Parts: sequence; structure tokens; C-alpha cells
Amino acid sequence: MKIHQREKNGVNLLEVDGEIDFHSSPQLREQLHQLIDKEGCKLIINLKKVSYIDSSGLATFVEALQRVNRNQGSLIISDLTTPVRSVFEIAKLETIFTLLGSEDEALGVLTK
Amino acid sequence: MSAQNTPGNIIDVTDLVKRFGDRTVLDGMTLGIETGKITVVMGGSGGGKSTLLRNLIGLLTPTSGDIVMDGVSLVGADEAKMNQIRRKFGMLFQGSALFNSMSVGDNVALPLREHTDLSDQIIKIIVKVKLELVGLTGFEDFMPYEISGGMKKRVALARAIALDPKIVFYDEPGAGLDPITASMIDQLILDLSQKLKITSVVVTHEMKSAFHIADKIIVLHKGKVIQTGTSEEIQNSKNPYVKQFISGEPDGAIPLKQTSEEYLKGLLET
Repeated sequence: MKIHQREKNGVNLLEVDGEIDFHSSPQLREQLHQLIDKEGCKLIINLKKVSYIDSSGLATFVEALQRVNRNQGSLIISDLTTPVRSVFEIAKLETIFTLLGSEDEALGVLTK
Repeated sequence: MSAQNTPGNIIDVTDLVKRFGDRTVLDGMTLGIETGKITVVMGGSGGGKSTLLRNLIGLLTPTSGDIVMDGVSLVGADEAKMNQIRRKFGMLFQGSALFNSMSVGDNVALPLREHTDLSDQIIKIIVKVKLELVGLTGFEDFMPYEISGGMKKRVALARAIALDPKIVFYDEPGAGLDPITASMIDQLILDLSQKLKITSVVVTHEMKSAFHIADKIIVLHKGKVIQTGTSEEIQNSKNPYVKQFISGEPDGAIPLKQTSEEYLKGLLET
């Protein structure tokens, strides 16, 4: 798994490439913590290149959302592939996250 | 130990023989388990169901033959390889096998703590998700002795799927449960199979349950596969052993007891 990070209009964009599983999720968690442990952080996680996510990946995003909420920040997950979206749906998590179809759409929401 | 599965199968068992001393329990068994499907292994006591299951999960070593699971041969696998294979499957034991001194949450968390380096915070979230999947949201802090037998089964199932296995083995999932609770467990097996695309291998002699949940049924008798088919095919089987097993007749193709000759021969052999 690789993580590409950039910034646009004050929003952090994280693009994940590969599988998010028990082996790779701790690395993702560490990188997320660096970005979200700031007051009012704005973050988009682009999952366009993620074909598989397991429970640990899901839990990593839930924890990230808990921290973002605590810091009055915003987190949007975009570009979910069908298998990844179905994992969110199975765990009934699609309603607690803001899941959007594209990064541009997510940027539009966070830079309004 | 890299090996190939038949296309569409996640497990291939070939000419599996298991002997305990002179007693042959698995007598050249060959079968395939299809990926993502529910396969029920059925048969009477002594037919080889439990021995097959123990060979599949690596608790017993085959006398001869081969088992290929998700592209890896179990035969001759060293401990490191077996650990890798064990991550591929979860197991629901007949008696649930929960640790009574640990809370429901800690029981589900156990494989995650044993087999991963995940932080406690992440493990807590995974436990909540798994408990929701088996309909036990909010039961993390209960102790096993505070919940019913059906709930224990569900906790055991949450633990079996904690590591996101590709395959779940169920050993007599309805045993010891009342009919309503047993049906709920059946429904859960169906739900998890469909939702998580898990391959399920269910060992049972509960006919009603088998016909309800199975995509495919494998019937064992005297350590061999005597018929494989859909629920309908098995229910309409012409095989006298299968027919007797389904109808529950006390005597028939499967003899109720040994013949006098066998008895006398056995006496002289001791």
C-alpha cells in the first residue's frame, strides 16, 4: 500500500493506493494521526485505487472520524470502489461517514 | 507447499486417508469446496465428518492424500506455514469454546491480539463491528456466563470472523440449541455467507438445517463420499444409505448392529 499526500486550498488530500489490511492499516493510521490531530483539520481520503479493505482498515477510518469530530474538523472519503463501499455498507457505516463520488465534489464541500 | 486448487474451489481434498492404528476413519476421501458457497458435510456418527474437519483445520495430519486450501498444501506444511494457513479460516466450535474468565469483547478480540499488531483502540472498534454483524451490539462487557447458549454461539461466530477469514468452518452449529435459536444461527450463517462472501463449511447431521442453508451437500459414510449434490438432489437420492440417513430409519442399508459372524470374528481377534 502507498499513500500520496498533497494539499489544495487548505484541504489535505490523501490518496491511498493498494490494499488496506491488517498489515498496512497501522501505516495508514500513523499518517492519518499526523493530519487530523489539529483543530479544524480538513481531510479528503481518496480510495479510487483501493480494491480491498478489511476490518482493520474500516476501524482505522472510524477512529480517524472520532478524532476529527473531537477536533471540530471535517473528513470526507471519496471515490470508493464497489467492493470497498460494500464493506462500509455491511458494517452499516455508510451513514456515519460522508462518502462522495469524487475528490472534486469533496473539495467543493470543504472549501465552500 | 504452493499448490493449485481446481478452478472455482477454495479447498480440494484428494484421496484423503486417516488411520488410527488399524482403524481407517477416512478411506480415500475426495471432495471439493466451492469458493463463496455454503457446503454442508453430512453423515452419521463414525462416518468421518469430525475427522475430516480436524484434518482440514490442521489438528490432525493425514495418513496419506492431500488437502489444498487457497493454493497451499496442508500436507507437510511446517508450523510457520500452518500459521499462515490458519489466518485464512475461522472456526466455530461445537461448544462455542469461549473463555469464561474473559468478557464477550475480550473473547472476540483474542485472535486480533494474538495474530496482529493492531492497537487496542482499533481492536475495540473491530470488536464492535463484529458484534453488530452477529446481532450483539452493546454486549462487549458481558461475561459468557451472563448470556444464553445461542448468544454464546453468536459471540463465538464473531470471534471466528474477527480476522476476516476467507473460510469459516462450523462444527455442528445447532447442537445443544432449541429449534428457534438453531434456526437463528442458520440464518446468520446464510447472512454472513452472502454479505461477507465467506466460504462456509458446515458439519452437521441436522437434516432440516442442512437442506435450508446448503448450496451443496456432501454425504459421508464409512470414511468415503457417497453422494454430492444440491439439497433437492440429496432429498431425492436413490442411494440406499443416503435414503436411510435422511429418513432416520433405525435399520436398513446402514446396519443397526454387527452381524453374529462379525461379533464372533471380533471376539476371536481380541
